[in-house]
Amino acid sequence: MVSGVVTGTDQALVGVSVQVKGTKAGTTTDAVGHFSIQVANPANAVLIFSYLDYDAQEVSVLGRNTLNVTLKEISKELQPIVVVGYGTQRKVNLTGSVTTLDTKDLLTRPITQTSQALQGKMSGVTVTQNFGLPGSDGGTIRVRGIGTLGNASPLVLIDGVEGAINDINPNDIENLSVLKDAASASIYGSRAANGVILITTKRGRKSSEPMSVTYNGMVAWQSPTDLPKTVDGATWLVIKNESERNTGRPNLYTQAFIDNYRNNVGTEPNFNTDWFDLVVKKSAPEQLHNLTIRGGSEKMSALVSLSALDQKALIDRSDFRRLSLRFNTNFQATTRLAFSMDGFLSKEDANRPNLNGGISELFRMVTELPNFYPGVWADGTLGEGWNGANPHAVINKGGRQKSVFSRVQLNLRGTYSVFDWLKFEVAYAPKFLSTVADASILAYPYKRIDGSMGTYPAGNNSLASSNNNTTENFYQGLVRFNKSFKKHTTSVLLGAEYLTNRNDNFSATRQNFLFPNYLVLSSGDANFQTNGGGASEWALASYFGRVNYSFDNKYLLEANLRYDGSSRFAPNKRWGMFPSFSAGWRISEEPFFKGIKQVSSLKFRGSWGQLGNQDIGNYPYLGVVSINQPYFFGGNVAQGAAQTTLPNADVTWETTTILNGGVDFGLFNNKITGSFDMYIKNTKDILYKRDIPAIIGLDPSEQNIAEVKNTGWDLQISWRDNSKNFRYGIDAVLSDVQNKVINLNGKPQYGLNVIFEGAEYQAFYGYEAIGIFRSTDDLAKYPRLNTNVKVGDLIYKDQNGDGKIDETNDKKIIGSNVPRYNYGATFNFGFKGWDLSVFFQGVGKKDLYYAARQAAYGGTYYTYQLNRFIFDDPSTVQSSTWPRIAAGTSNDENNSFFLYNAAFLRCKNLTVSYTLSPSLLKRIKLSSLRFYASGTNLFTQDKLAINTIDPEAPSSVNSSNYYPNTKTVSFGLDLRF
Amino acid sequence: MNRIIKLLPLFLILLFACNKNLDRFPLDKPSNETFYSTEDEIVAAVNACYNYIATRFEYPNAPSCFSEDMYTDILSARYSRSAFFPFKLGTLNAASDLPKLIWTHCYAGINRTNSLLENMFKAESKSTPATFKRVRSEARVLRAICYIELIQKFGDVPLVTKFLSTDESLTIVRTKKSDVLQFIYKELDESMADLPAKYTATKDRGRLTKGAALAMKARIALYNADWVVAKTSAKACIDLGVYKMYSSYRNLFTYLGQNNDEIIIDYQFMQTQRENAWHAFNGTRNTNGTAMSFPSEDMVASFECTDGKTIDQSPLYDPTNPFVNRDPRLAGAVMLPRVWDGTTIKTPGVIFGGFEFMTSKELLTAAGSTTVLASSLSEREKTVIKLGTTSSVANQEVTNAFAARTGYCTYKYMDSTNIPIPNNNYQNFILCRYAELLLIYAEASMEAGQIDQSVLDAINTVRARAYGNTNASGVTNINATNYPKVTSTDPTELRKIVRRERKVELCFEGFRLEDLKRWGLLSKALSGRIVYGRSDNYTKLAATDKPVFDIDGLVIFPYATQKYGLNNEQPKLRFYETYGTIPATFRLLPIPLGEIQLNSKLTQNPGY
Repeated sequence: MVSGVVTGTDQALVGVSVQVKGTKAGTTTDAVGHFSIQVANPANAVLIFSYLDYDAQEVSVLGRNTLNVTLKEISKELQPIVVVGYGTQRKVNLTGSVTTLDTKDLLTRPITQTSQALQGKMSGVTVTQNFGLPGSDGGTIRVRGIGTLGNASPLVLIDGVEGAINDINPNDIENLSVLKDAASASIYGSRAANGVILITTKRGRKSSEPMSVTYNGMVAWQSPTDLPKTVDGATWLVIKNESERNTGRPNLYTQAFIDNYRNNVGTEPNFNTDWFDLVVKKSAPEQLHNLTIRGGSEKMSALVSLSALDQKALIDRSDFRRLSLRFNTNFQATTRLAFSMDGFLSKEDANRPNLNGGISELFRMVTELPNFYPGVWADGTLGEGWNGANPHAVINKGGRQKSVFSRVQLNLRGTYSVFDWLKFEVAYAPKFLSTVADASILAYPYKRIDGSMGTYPAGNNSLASSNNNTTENFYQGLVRFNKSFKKHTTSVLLGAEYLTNRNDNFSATRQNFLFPNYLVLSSGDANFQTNGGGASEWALASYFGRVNYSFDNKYLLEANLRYDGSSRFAPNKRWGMFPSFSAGWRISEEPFFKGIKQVSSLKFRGSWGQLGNQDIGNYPYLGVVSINQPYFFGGNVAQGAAQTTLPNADVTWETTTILNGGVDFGLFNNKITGSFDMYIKNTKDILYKRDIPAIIGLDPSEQNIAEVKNTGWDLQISWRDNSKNFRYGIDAVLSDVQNKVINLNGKPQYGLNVIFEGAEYQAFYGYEAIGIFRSTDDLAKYPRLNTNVKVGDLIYKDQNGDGKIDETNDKKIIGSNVPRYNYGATFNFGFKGWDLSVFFQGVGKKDLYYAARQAAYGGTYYTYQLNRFIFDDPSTVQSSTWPRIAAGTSNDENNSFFLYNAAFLRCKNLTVSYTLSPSLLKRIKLSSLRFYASGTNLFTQDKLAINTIDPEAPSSVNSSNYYPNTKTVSFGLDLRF
Repeated sequence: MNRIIKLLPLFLILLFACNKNLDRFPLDKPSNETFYSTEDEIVAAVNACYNYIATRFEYPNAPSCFSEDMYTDILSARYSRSAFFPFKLGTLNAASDLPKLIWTHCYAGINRTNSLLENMFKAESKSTPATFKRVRSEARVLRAICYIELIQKFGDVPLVTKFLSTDESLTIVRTKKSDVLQFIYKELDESMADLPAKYTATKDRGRLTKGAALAMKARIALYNADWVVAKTSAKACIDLGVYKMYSSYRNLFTYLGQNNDEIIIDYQFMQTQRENAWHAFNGTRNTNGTAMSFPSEDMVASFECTDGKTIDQSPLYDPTNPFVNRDPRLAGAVMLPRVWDGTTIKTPGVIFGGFEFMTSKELLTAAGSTTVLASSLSEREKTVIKLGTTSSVANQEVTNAFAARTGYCTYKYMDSTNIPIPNNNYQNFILCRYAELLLIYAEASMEAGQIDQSVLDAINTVRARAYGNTNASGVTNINATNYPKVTSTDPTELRKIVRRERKVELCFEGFRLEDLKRWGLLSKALSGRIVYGRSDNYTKLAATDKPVFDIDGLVIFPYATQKYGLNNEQPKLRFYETYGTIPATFRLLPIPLGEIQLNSKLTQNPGY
């Protein structure tokens, strides 16, 4: 009889297989890692200890009765662990399509919102960032194209609880993986159709490791990327006159006036205000500090992480601050009973100028205001801007918008291991979110060009306060079963979940604050008070299960099933079933493969499964009467009631079916690793508010009508090597997806972005501009949209050749709204303590519709319009590249002239870091110390014809009303005691 | 161990048991299946229908019909974001916003009224019979109002009288305009009996009355040349004896004139709760307005002289001092600028918000010179003195390039109360008033060939009010005698008079476009139309510089292109803009493109 204890790196191992070599006799270790086994020939016997994720070990008994063994963990570099639904898996055993984020460089880039970290780093994951406002600068994430016509954002689970990607402090992330195919995601059933992002957070350490205190901090400076360049004041006057003449009006400014302006520009009141210069700062600082304490004992371990972000905006008096605290604790009550208690508390303060239309409107003003208008007078008085709306004045003297978003999120979990192979788990995770917001409107005085004074906005000052609270309760129960018999390994998971969500909100306003320094509701005038409020709730119940089976670590099988019920559907349409199956073959483990030395590992995977989507309004199946439709009789409020939406009792789940095939490979002793996946993702019964005839008189509600297909591939490849002191590596991702609306039940949607059967979702739709009418001959030669089209206007192609241009027959799909060929590549070089990382990111094919010329209705003109057609300037007749400038003409129709190639390559990040050598550290009594400098969005290569806008700018028909992306330079250090 | 294994199913059952409750219902909205079953519910339902008494999609948040005049010969606008803008450019097409906005609005109103009318039987036993009947009639009249708008704008339209299913909506066809018209007549006729002639309670002011139903019938009959129906309906409404002319033409459109006896239908506003930005939109530059719309010289010229003659005929008209001896409604509707020669004030401008209205740009330049005389500017019209102060401030009506471009502003609906709150006006907008009814009576009678004294009386009642003795708080004598009475019974003459009377009495209230359409003048009046403004220097006009009125009462300015000045560079009239080519087919709007794309059974109107 031989007995003993098997331990791993820091604890006893449960369920280690112990086998007498050459016999069938075997046992497993118990809950404290103890084993005992009968051995026939103690002197010569050899015991084999094998355990998942550990190197198997052979130990000769040599006649001993007690044998304590320590197993060595398989290096994580070689055997990465991947977070999958409700657990983890070794990457080699994965049969689904999962991509993981290298979390190492999360802290050296100035990432203020976690979504930014994913851009260009994960194959099949497209992140678009086109709004740089602190607090709102997260990216839009799309996993494998757009599979729904509604909200296409992936489900995000943080330690198993639904959250938002930007809810998490990047510093707390231990693992982040994206489940891309149905096999890996279908365990999340009805919410997984757009992909699933799983995040696990860092936890405390076992007693075997020393307690650690880590500080990570950085300071950074943001500066704006491109915004459109406006023309100077004199040019504006000239073009404005031109525009007036082109719309049948006389000159607005006399030549004498323009000459006078031109000769005296710069001396008041001949302003030439560069609004961009006046309003947008050259640089704005941000700082980020993280403090992490990790430690623990046999019975308890804990992590406490504190993080503070202070990010100033590119405009004055505007910032975003976030303070967050996470504590993750583990308690080992008995050997079989364990608890964990995690908490996440955060508070986000955003502080901005308040104006109708938000910060976008402010930037619209910056890019639309003519330079001719005064910004600030020499004596410091504010200029008039646009009828008093002066962005500089709004920022510095106008009303404020303040919001405080608070969150308390708990995750309580208990685990009971009945046997080594059977575990019960229960969890309760409540979440409380609250937003308290104040928006005030305060008037400021300004001086006009003529010297007279005015105030803006006219009317009473006012304050609107609102409060929005969400409570979410999440309950979970899991049963886990894991067992290996010889070459068979099985695991089974069963679970149930229940989620309820309730939102309550109210808002109130008052006007006429006699004491504007005391901006709280009750100091306003009660004669001008209004208020409102609302509440809504929804619930989701789920049952699910998973079976994994592998034989000899070569043949891998997995099946998932989820059964979800949502309160959003009528009782008979409520429940949906989402199955998936997948299989893998590690061909490199086959004996016949052993001879191929170059290939260190090779695995083929295949999967099929279904996912659902329920993300629509809360009560789309119910016909309800809104009792908030008042009318006003004789100065009295009369309550009014009316149905406003057409309900659809038949509304039910969207179903996405994904067929995925992939291969994982490692070459040259795993120096080169990678994976390639191809998939077909088909979504049916897409919930979509189709255009219903307005004649019905109600707003449409969702119907299960559409079908969209995404076909694509993802490639991820890494190369790592080192020689002596020199380390280098490349990580590259490239993916493509083609989108097609298969079926729309025959009801296309029209507009600039159309939804047509057989076309890409939201493709750009309009006339095809084939030139400019340069002569009256041209006018005769080409059909015109109407008789008011004149020389200098755009020529639209007569698609059906019927000799006239009409809406129905001559518009066509002119471009794509879905970026293709998303790629990213990170190059790492290391030499001794130095590390250099360069990260490029880009999009290979992308269209941008940018028709901000309509800004010229009342606003300025842009340098890209300078080479325009001028009716009375013959030199422009042939050479002009822009049509004549006139508001309201046929040039304003959606057409391909305003469609640009926005493919780009961007140096997303460059980081240089230096890590101090251990010998030096010992002297200064630190565990580790690293300094780094980093630049984000450093330079961009694109082919935009309008080269003054950012290629990631949102498509626009009106104006460039977006906060620009930012370029950031940062310096930081990483310090561990 | 066995015990634990036995616990396993129990554990799972426990988990599964807690998941039953997935019933979640709206916390703030009742179900439509049980609604419309009490008196309170049907009253609330009809209240909500009143939001569809007029479209309100244009920027100032006033009824959108008020924007229509801005795209005709009487008013012009520099507001290029208006849904009506493509209309005057001649670029209107089926994809334009305008038809869609009107169509969507009307059918949403029709759905609301249909839902109520179809379901309100559930409330009959639980309601006071009078209230029940009144609500039913209010809903039917509101629905008729939506149909009136629809047939006027689109001609033939689908006639929907019940809650429409999606399937039905995809195949419904247009009903002939004449059939919809008969439906409107029937609805209005059947509703009248149950509507009160007048509401006594303040909280009911603005509800539809018997008179409203009659007036709507008279109007739509007139619009469709159904002269006898128009005449008899108008007569019946007049005979109710409920309505009378309000004492002051000017005050009728201000806070002073709210809910007076001339008003038959209006759109009600309420401070803080529902406001509009009429002043910010149309107000003068000096008074927190942006002067987005401005009367044309055509409009100003159309007001007669006090002798009842048009200005081309009247000896009282002096082109160098054009605003004296004119129909008082000119000063009531149009904000008139100061007339002066640079030294002597001939007629002061309107004093509004403490500022005298002065818009002459001509006097900014030295005679014959194109150079701006900076020093003289501050002395002259570039400054304005606010009443009660001594120092002068810059006169933005002149210095701002975006001030009223014709040199006039609208005065109707301008109330100085709104100056400090330009975006928060709350005066009601009149959709139908007694004066219109009298003019309908007159025009219908005249067209029906039934000209008698009652016709002249109707016209003269409208004219008399204008000439009443006005004082600050209104007028004591609305039956003025010292005004130019209409006496002609010659049909051709009377037609001219009635049409001119509508043009001046109802100006800027949203009637001009409909009138031009039904008089067959749309294309003639608007296509390629040149909008003129005031003369910048009245002293440069000759006594013969008078407009000509063509056979249709449209104004022609023979001297508009004549110039004066040392180098003959100044036109005698300001030129504001030229309209695009407006085909006669614009008389009907296109059926919205989206509707046709969804329902191929809908035909398109000609010309689109």
